[in-house]
Amino acid sequence: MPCRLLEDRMASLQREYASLLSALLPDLDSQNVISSLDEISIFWHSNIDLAVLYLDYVIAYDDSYVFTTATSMDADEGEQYSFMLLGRAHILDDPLGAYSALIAESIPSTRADALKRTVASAAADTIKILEECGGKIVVLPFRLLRQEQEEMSPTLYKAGKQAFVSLFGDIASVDDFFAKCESLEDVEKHLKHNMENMILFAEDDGRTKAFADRFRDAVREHDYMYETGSSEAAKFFQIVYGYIQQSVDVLASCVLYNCTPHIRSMVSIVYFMLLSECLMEVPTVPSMRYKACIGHLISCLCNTERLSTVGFDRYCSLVLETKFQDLLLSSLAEAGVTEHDFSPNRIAPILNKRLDELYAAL
Amino acid sequence: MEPSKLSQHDLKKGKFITPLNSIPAMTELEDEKTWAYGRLPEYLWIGLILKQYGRTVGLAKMYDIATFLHKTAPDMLVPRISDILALDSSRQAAFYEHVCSVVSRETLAPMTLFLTQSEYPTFAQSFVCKGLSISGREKTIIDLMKGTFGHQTNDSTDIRFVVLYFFAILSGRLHFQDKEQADFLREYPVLDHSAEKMHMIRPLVRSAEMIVLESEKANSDYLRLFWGRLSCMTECAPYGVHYPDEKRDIAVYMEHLHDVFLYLSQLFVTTSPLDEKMNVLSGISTYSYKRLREVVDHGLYNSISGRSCVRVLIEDYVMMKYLIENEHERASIWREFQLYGIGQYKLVLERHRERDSVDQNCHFDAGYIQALVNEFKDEEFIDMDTRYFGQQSIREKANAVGEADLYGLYYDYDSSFEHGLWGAIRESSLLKCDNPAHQYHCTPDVDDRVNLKSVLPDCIMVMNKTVALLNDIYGIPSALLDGVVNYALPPA
Repeated sequence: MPCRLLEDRMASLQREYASLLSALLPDLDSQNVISSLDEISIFWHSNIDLAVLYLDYVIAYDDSYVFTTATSMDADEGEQYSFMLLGRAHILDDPLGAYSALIAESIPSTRADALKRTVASAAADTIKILEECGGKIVVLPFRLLRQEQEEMSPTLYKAGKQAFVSLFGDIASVDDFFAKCESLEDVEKHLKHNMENMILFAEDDGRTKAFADRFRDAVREHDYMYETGSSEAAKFFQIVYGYIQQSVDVLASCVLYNCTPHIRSMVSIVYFMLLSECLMEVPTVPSMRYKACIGHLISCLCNTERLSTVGFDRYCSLVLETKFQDLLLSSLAEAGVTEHDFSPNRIAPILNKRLDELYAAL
Repeated sequence: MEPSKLSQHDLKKGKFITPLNSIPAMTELEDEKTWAYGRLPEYLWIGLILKQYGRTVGLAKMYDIATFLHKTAPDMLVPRISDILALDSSRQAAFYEHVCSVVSRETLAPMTLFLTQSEYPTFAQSFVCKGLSISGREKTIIDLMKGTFGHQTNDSTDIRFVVLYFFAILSGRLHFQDKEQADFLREYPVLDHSAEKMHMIRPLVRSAEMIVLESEKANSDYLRLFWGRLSCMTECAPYGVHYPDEKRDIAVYMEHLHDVFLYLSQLFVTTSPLDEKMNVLSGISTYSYKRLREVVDHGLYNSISGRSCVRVLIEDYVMMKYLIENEHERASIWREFQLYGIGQYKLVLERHRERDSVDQNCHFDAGYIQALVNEFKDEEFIDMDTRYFGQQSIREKANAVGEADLYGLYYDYDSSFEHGLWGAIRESSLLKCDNPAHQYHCTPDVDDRVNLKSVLPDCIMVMNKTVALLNDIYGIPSALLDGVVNYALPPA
């Protein structure tokens, strides 16, 4: 039995949000961006109970996925299509509420302008998703809701630090890291074997350059973030621990609302997998890691152009009718791939085969 | 005899009349003419003889004794002990002497418990047995009465046959037109009760024996003496029906139920805090939930209060359905329902105000009730409707919303408990006395020996209907709903 009243109210809320974003869109890349983002924050703050109720009673009880850690879902690129391949309930983690705090910070005007453009673009994408995928993808400030609902649990806070420390062979704690590391060379010296090839500093970090070059490129890109005179080790911590903290946020929200993150970003998925490996004793985490890995591979391997040849509603029905997820998971299981024993390399060929079958069915 | 069906009763001015009572001039027997109270004490002596010697020998001996009695008192229509006791002492003595020549003296000795020397010297002197204890005599009489208290038992029918034989054959007051019927009577003493034919003969004996009643007048003095002496002499033997105490643990069900109501509460507060319909429906259903919670928390399943809970659960459910089904005709029904209830509160408040002094310990808190009455509307604008809400009784509402069975099979029964009607009082608060000498009367169950059949399954049944109704309107997440509506109550 659908939760009629709750779902009706959520559908109504989605329409209200689409109207609000449409009304605010002209102001989002202007000097009115702060007041506009403030209104978005107020909107979600006013409706937080409904959003949490929906997460608690619909999302938490379904096979749910949340599109998160991205600035937006690119509807023009058909990202909504690949997102629907797994799961039965889908959320877009709306980043706009969180931008309010960022814009208010004293960042250089050049960066502020870029951020305004990002915000406006993200809002435009969200409007498209709300209009095209309304009823199938629910837009909610997923991570923001958890932050407003509860304090970070000590376990997760500890896991974040543990994930950072796990990069090193002979460093026992964050304090130990700062005691032993000052320069990047210090950092490299203590990293586990081959770890420099695992660590990513940015989305476009191709890992073809030397570790030090990749690090310094990333530092240059976000120069405004660092305090004057801070050490390279401190900057390394700030970048890497920042990504880990993002993963902590995602993981905490996903555990709370029993859903799986759909992470398109390579850098985010790497740190998510790193962190979640430290929390395997949490009952839902092993399955979440496995499905998150499959979801990420879908983002990388899926030809959204081919999927989007069909209207979105019809496409969603087809995905269910063809039992894409069930067949994929059973094929993986037959190949001995399970939530306790998987790797992208083993998943990718089976996934590609299933995707080819889906393309043919469209 | 199969009980008559409700549909066979005549409904006249709100009263269901039984098919028998519908027959003109059909009247119930007076107490003194009933078998157990009025006739058995008169024929107890016959029963003692039959019991002492067994049916076949006993009936043969009774044939002899009855024939002698008829010769001794030719005008006597029926062999009532009070009539025998009314004979002059010489005839009595002669009769008793004959009796003692046919049966042992001890056979009728138990009757000396109430036919004593001061009032019935001839009888007492004839049958008193040295060494026969009071309790032994008592036991003999009580045992006999247990087997003959019912007017249709085989032992009772045997006694009634002797009476009929005396009345019809010896006194010649009854003539059977039908030869077959007369033959049946002749066969009665020689046929065993297990014989197939006896299924026809026994009712014939009993119905024919009833004809005796037309020509005899009950001896009230003797009956008073019999029951008075016997009831004083013997102890009450109270017993009560005790159903198994409900011990099934429904914590899981209550947890699921709590989750459902918590969800509905959050849903109301979040989505529709000012919606009067949802306010009323969640208010009524939460009231039901709290009533059930009380039953569970305090283990009231086998209690009178448990039945009150089932009743209110049904009434709440019926009212919810009634409101929902009538909202399309009266959009304001949700507000009307609230005002009706508040009006009832105001009425009591007004009565309190009209009294000069009300006990401060009274559970009606006038100050608080006044605040509630005036909570959303000044009381000067609140009328007090003393009729049913919607001018329909709960029975009419139940019929209108397709829940006639809930009303007819459950609610009406539980109403007896709520209103303290005799059926409920008898079932819940009285013990049965197993002493026929006390006419199987009832005694107060002061020490709570009686309990009632558990209401738990019915509470769950009605609560699940309530939840299903809410689900139809608002939709409840399956994960919450399933735990309630698919809850399997463990076997008792």
